[in-house]
Formats: sequence, C-alpha cells, structure tokens
Amino acid sequence: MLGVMMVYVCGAIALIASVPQDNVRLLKYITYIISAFACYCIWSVVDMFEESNGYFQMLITMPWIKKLGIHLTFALDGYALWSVILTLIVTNIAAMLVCEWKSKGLKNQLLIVYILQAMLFWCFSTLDALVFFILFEAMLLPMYAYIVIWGGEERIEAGWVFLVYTLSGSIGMLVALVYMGVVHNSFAWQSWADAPLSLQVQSYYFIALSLAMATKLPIFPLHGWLPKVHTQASTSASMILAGLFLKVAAFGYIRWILPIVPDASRLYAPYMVVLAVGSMMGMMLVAWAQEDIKRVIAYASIQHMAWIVLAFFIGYLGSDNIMLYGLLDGAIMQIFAHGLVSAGLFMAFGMMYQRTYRRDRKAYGGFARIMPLLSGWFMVLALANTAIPGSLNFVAEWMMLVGIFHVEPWVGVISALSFLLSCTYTLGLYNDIFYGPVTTQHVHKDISTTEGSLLTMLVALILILGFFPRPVLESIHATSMVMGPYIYRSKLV
Amino acid sequence: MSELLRLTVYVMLLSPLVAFLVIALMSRRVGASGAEAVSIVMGAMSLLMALLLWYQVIILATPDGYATIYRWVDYEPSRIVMGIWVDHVSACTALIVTCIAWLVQIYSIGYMHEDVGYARYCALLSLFIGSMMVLVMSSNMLEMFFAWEIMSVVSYGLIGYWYEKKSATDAAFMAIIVNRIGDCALLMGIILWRLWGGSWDIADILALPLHAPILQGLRADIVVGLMMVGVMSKSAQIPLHIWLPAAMAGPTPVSALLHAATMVAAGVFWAVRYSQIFILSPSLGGILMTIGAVGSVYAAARACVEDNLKYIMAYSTLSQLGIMTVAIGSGAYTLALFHFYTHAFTKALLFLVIGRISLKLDHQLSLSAMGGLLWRMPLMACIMLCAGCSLIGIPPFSGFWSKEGIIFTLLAHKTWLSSGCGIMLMGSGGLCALYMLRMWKHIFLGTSPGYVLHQGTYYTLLVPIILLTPVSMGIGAYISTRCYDPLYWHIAATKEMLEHSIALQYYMQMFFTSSAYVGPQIVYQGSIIEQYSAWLLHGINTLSLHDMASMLSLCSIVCGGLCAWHSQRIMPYMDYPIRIYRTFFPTPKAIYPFIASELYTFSCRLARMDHVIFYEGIVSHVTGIIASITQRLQQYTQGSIGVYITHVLAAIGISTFAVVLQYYGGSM
Repeated sequence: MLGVMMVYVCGAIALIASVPQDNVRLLKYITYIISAFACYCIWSVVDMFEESNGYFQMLITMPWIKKLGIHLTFALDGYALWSVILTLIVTNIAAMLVCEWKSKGLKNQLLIVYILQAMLFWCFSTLDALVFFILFEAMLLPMYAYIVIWGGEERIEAGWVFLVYTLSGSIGMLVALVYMGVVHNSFAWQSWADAPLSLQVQSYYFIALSLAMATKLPIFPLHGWLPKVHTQASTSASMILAGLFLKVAAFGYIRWILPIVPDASRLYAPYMVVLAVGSMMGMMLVAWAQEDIKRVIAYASIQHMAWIVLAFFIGYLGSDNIMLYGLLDGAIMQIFAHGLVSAGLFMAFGMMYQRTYRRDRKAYGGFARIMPLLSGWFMVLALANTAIPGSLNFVAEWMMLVGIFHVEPWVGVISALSFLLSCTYTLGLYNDIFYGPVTTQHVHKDISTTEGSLLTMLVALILILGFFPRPVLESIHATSMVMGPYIYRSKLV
Repeated sequence: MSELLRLTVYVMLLSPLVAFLVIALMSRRVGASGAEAVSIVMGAMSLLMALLLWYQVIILATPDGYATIYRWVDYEPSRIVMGIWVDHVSACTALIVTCIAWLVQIYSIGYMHEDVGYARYCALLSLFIGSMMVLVMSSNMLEMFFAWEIMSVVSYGLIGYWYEKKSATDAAFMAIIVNRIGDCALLMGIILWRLWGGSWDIADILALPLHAPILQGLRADIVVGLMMVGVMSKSAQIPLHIWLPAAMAGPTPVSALLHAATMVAAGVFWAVRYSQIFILSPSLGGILMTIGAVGSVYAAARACVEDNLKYIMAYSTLSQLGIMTVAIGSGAYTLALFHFYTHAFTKALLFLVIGRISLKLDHQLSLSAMGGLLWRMPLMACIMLCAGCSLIGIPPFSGFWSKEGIIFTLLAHKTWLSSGCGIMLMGSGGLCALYMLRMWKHIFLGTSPGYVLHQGTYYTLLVPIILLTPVSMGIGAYISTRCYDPLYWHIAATKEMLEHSIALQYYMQMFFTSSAYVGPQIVYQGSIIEQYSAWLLHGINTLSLHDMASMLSLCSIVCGGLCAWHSQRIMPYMDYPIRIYRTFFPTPKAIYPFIASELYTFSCRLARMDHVIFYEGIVSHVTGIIASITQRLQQYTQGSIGVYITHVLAAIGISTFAVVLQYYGGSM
C-alpha cells in the first residue's frame, strides 16, 4: 500500500504539472480527483494496516548511495500512519480551498501544495536519517516560495525569517547525523536505535537535533519566527505550516531523538519539561493579548505543541512504564488532533479574511448574524482548541494529563490550568468576532457550499474521533508498546 | 439489566441528542416550525421513556443495573467504558429532568416563537437536555464529565442567545469561564482519584465500604476539595456564584431550565452521586456547610433588595442551592437530592409564571413598574402564591418537607457548626418569606402604575404552568409519605448514606468539639427522612428537638412575612446582612474583573516582551548575522586574489594549530 501512496504523491505533482496554467476549471477537477484518490489511499492504508502490530509495516527499501549505507527506506508504524494520514487530509483540503478561491497563480500554488505533500509524506515515513534530514530541510524551500509569492504585505521579510531562522537552527543537525552515520556505518533507524552510545555522544546528538526540532516546533525561547510568518502567509500556507510543519518537528523528536539517545533525553528531560511548561503558560497569556487574529491562532499552536514536548519528556522523570505509554499515546494523538484543529482554525479564519481583508480583531463583530454557518463551525473548532470533551484534542490532552499527574502532580496542576486559560483566549476571540452588533457593511454572504463541506470534513473528523477514538488509538498504542521500551531504556556503552 | 430497560434508557438519552443533530444539520430545510416540532416530539419521547424507566425501577423495583454502550479508550490507565447506570437516583432524577424540560419546551413555543434564531434555540435546548440526561444516567466519572462540560458550553450558547446585546455575551463568557474554573478543578480531582487508588465506575464507588481505606488525610482532602470546587462552580456557591445572576441575560425559559433541572442541579447531583468520595473528607464537609449557609442567607438578603424580577429569582435560586450545599456538607445527601427535586419544580413554575407576566407587560421585569395585577391575572396570582409558599417552606407545600428535613437533620447532629448552619437556614427561610411575599405584593396588589396589557392568550404558555402547578405543590408530600415503603422511595444506598451521615457526625465532632459523643437520635434502621416523617405523622411530641426546629422556622417565616407586608419601612434595613457579608467576604464582582484585568495587563506586557525579545531580539539578530555572513562570503566570488591568499593562509594556520593541539594537547 505504501507503494501505491508513493505513486499517488508523485502522480499528484505530475498531474498538476501537466495541466496548462490558465485552465482553472481543469485544475479544479484534477484537484478533486487527486483528493478523491487521497481518500481512497487513507481508507485502504487504514484497512491494510495491522493495528496490533506496533512495529514498522509495509516496508519499501532500495539502495541509494551504497557506499555510505544510505537507503531509501520507507515504512509505517502507528505513529507514522496517523501523521501521514494527517498530511494527506490537510494538504488536500488546502488544495481544494485554493481551487475554491481561484486565487492568482492557481497552478503554481497547487504544485507547491502537492510538492509539500510528497515531501511531508516521505519525511514521516522514512527510516533513513539522511533522507529525513534532506527532506526536513528541503521542504522549507517550497514553503518559502509559498510565503514570499502569495503572502501578505510584509511577505519578503517573513519569508526570509522563516527560511534563514529555521535553516540556521538545523546546522548542527547535519553534523550530528553525519557523525552518527559514520560511526554506525549506516543511516538506518534500526541500527542507530540498537547500537549503544556513550552519554557524551548522546548529549551532543541530543543538543544538535533538539536545536533543529525546537526551532521548528517551536519551543519557548526559539518561537519568535512563527507568529510573524503566520500573519504573512496565505491561508493555505498557514494551514500546512501549523497543521504539518510543526508536526514534523514533533515527529522528529519521537523518531530521531528519544529512541536514539534515551540517556541524553533523560539527562535533559527536566530542562525540557520546564521549557515546555513555561512555553505553555506564557504562550497562552500572550495569545490572550494579541490584536491580530492570526497571531492568536499561531500562539495557540505554540501552546499546544508545548503539550507534546511536555508529554515526551516528563515520562523520563517517572517510573511504571504502562502509565508512561499513555503519555506517548497522548502526544501522538495531539499531533493528529492539533493538526486538524489548527488547520481548521486557520481555514475558518481565512474564510472571513477572504471577505474582509482584515486581520485585527477590532474589525470584526456580529459575524454570527452575517455568517451563521461559519459561526457554528468556528465554535466547534474553538472549543476543540480548548480541548472540550468530545473532541479529539480532549482524548489527547486527557491521556497526557493522566500521565503527567502520575509522574509529577504539580506539573499536572499547571498544565490543567491550560484548560481554563485556553478557554479564556479562544472564547474571548469568539466573543469578539461573532458576537456583538454588526460592524461591517461589506460582508453579506455566508460561506459557500464547498467551503462549508471542507470545514465539515475537519469538524466531523474531530468530533467523531473524539467520541470514538479507538480506531486511532489502537495502532498508536501498539506502536507505543514497541517504541516505549526503546524510549525509556538506557543504552550506554 | 433487562433488554427493555436498556432500550428505554437508550431511547430516552438519544431522543434529545437526535433532535439536536437533526435541527443543527438541517435547520435550513426544516425551518423554525420544523425545529420546534422535532424538539418537542423528541422531548415527549424522552419524557415517556423516563416515565417507563421510573415505572420499572421504582414501581417494579428492578435491581440496579449497568449496561455498556461502547468502550471509549481501551488502555490503562485511562480505560473508560461509556455505559449507563440505572438505580433509584438516576431514574427519579431523569423523570424530573425530562418532565420539567418538556414543559419548558412547550412554554418556549409561545415565548420564543417570533424570535429570529428560534431553530438555534431549539437545537441548543435539546442538546442541553440531552447532556443533562447523559449526566444523570452515566456510569462513570469521565462520561459524566463529558456531559458536564458540554452542558457548560451549551449554556454559553443559551445565555448569549441574544448575542447582539453586550450584557448577554458578557454574561455568557463569564458563565463559561467561571464554570471552567470548576471544570479544571474537577478534572484534576477525577484524575487524582483514579491515580491514588479509586475507580471511575459508579458501580465500584457505590460498592465501596464505609471508611474505605482508599484515601486518607491530605490526599482525601485534595481530591474532595478539587471536586468540591467543581460542584461549587456548577451549583453557583460563593465565591463562584457570580455567573448565575448574570446568566439572567438569557431568555426566561432558559433560566427556568438552568435554575431548576439542568445546570445548577448538575453540581448537586455530582455530589450525591459520589457521596462515597465526599464523605472521605469530613473537615471539608464542614467548610462546605459554612459556605452554603452563608451563601444562603446572603443571597436571600440580596433577593430582598433587588428590583428586577429575574434577579430576585436568581438570588432565590442561590439561596436554595446554599441549603442543598449545607445538606451535602452535613452528609445528608438524600435530603439534598430531595430538596433539589422540590426546588426544581417550584423554581421552574415560578420562572414560567414570571415569564408570562412579563410577556403580558411587554417584557417589563421591574417590580416598581408593576402593581394591581391581582384582578387582571387571578390565576397567575394564585399559582405564584402557592409556589412562593412552597419555596418558603409552608406546610403542606412541597418545599416544606425537604427544607424542614434538612434543618432538622442539622439540629440533630448536635454540633455547634451544624446547629449554627441550621439556624442560619431558618434565617434564610425567613428572608425567603420576605422576598417572595414582597414580590407578590408588588406585582399583584397596590395600584397599577399605568401599563397596557397585551391582549391574546398564549395557551402554550398557560398549559405548562397549569400542568406544573399540582406536581410542584404535591411532590414533597408525596415523596415524604411514600418513604415508608422502600419500594416507592428508596434512594439507592440509603442505608449507606445514613451510615455516612452518622460517620460524618462522628468525624465532625472529632473535628469541631473533640468529643466522641455520637448523638443517638438518628441511629435508626431506616433513613432520616423516614424517621422524620414518622415523627411528623405520629405525634409531634416524640422529639422536643423537632418542636424547637419547627417553631423556630415558623417564627422566622412569620417574621419574614410580616416584614414583607411592611416592606417599604423594612427595606432600608435590608442592607445590613449584605453589609455584614461584605465586611467578611470581599465582593467577587469587584475581585474577578480586577484579577482578569490585571492578568490581561500582564499578558499585554508579556506579549510586548515576547515580540521585543524573541522576534526583534533573537530572530532578527540571528537572521541579521547570517545575512552579514553571506555578504562576507560574497567577496570570494569577486576574484580578488589577495582575499583568497589571506584566508587560505589563515585556514592553514588554524588547522595546523588544531593538529598540534590534537597531538600534544593530552601531554600538556
């Protein structure tokens, strides 16, 4: 099935590339066909995936540079499966949204979206460190183009910040990966995970990779680029950025740091926990004080990504592995859940922005009267952002919270406060946008059927999986049972 | 659990939820009248099923039952099975909730029909009722928490229903934030309870032995304290009560539902459901009693000075909730539930009557603009008087039975704290007489200040009121007299609850009087309420304590009534209880906005710092440094030989140094 998906991601790019630039109708239909095929891919990959088997499945491997031991190895485990599915969902919805709005340079936008889809897909499913690194860096370029060409008024600066800042975060990563590859004479995940390592080497590796991931995730002191970039990026770029790019970094932690250097992770866990908790609380307060609506959503995503880091690292402070596996489950669920919710929030706001071209919250008011349909969907998404029970986010945050309380109740108390504060800024935003008297005279139309159905897809997924999370959890938990021993062990020489 | 019972419960739970889904997804197609029809038919279905359930559980005495709906999460530690738990408590509560809810839905036809967002209203109301039903029937804590949270969200939508009014949206926002404070605490309590050894399933919790050695000392205090905060926010106890008066910005039928059968009742229901946990921390029980008693008197005093009808009702609800809280704190969970039932009917009735009166007066709600309505609306006057008597606690109206039961139990505990609370509740009863009679007097007596009554009779407004009146008047006596027969009124685990009550009394004495004396008065084989009714029916002289309680209550009520008659002269002095309260407790109305604004200012400062330090500081500098490096590198592309040679030489020098260090560094 992975082979079919490979063909799908390449075929999507080829199909879009082969359509002439000015044929908007054809582009639209082809996007729909690609999306339909993505649905088929998701359906059948979930169908064929063995839930009870937590190890890598559907292995594809071919040699690339034999002398250096680099292979193009792709496989899925429970973690990768749901990240890949998230990729397919978010990119296709973003593509359909672009088609619906018929914005300028439609073909090139679609091309970028589908190139990003392919890169993200490979990045989530690869088992070769160098391939991961190359994709991790290379996907910045199409996104850079997306921001600089289709962005807002300060797009050049934002694109520059995005490219240079995140690239410079990962300087050390290349060195660390090459060093590890030379030491192990291989770049394969399994051989890295199995070989013992001294604590010193582990620490260097941890710091180098952590810097790259923490910049992109982003965690508290390195998060400066995200709000700027989000405000300047177009709606679909924001969706992919918040929904997928940040998740790649979180995924990098669980695949390329924690199982490879567990001792160093244990060593630095307390600091990461402090950073994550600080990030969570601080970003919530900062989000509350933002005037720019896109910045509110951007800070909200920093806050929710901090949950993931917290869950990853607090496990090292505790014992009793069964409880700790719940933390991993929750973190991966959060990757999936927040990917859907943040993409949904950016999309829903984008629908308003498309009509008003205003980002400051003072420009809005009384939109429940003008856009009743959107107000309903936005409500669900906003509540999912606050982890209301019944949303997928609640499943994730609940599982993480139980684990956190098990390990360290005080950290649990602080992170439980996020249920309160996230409600403050999210519903405060909702109050400002949708309630109150109508302020604008220019907006008359509610969302169109296509926009509505795109939102409905996301909202339905969030709600259905929130009430019935077992299909997702089953495979994730099986993988946690396999990955957990890798993550919470010691592999010193 | 039998197949029929399970089916009954499923249909009962699903019908409001299905109504919500149908209206929400097809509101354009079905329109306002379609939405109304769907919600009312489904509400009726739910009510029928609740009656059937009640018949099976109470009359046919089906044993307590459990049924699985589906597994939510399968793995430890958060293994959760969504299910239903049927026992006497859930069956009775379900019947009362559906009954009130359906009548309110019918009432809404007349009250809300011309409103623009009527379909939205119907949908939200159905979801509100549905989530309350799930809360009542749920079989474990997390499932209950689901319903609990969804209910606060729906209340956000319903309170802010007229979203163009700033007061309404602010009230809605305040309601959900205050509720979230409690939800947050509750969530922590739920998790800690499980991690420290408890189980989430109601069946397991009910099966816990008394003095369960699960939690003791500080851990028990923490878990119970956190759950208590949750209950206090939902049931609007001081200092988390401010959302309830503000919630009056919503439509009147919503208030009727919110104050009677759903929202505020959820907190009381949670405490009753998990009494086995609450009993683990007796000292917090004492705190809860104090909070409830003080809140009850304060709210009653506030109700006496308010001018707006709905605000009077809001403070009256707070006062009655305080009575329930005192009962919970003292361990009389059965009585708390009993008072919740009688109060739910009475308060719903009062709200419906007030809504009808205000509709007749063109949405006038101010007392000072009313008067002389007695001969215009004699039926309403009569019903309101009866409902008022019930609320005050005048025999034989229903409020009397539950309120006197609580006061008597408090006195029977014979500790200074419980006696003090009992006396305060008597005072609150007197104040209740004052504000109810004052309100009645101002509406119906006196001269009319000149208004035009709306013509036309809305039968949909009248029918629920008339249906509700006899039920509301009689339910207290019915439950009290039936309680001899355990088949009729046997709240699940009554025996355990009695034991709890005794244990609590024991603990309370340990804590507050340091004497190990256990009052013999309530160590009987039956429930407190049984004993109490026996005393009432078989001669007053059985127990002098009871005489005292009744007489004191009666005195208090009579005083209140007399004061009401002379309310003009009394009113200036009504500030005193409020002022006394204010000296001890700073007013939350000032504190919450203060905290919020301080926090917001802090956030603004934080946001500015965030931008200055992390964007303009770190990000700009990093990108700036890299830009300058690239500019330096540009000189290599310009072909100046001198630059090349210097840099190559420097590189050779550095690498030689490194090699030397590598080889001789160790020996140096």
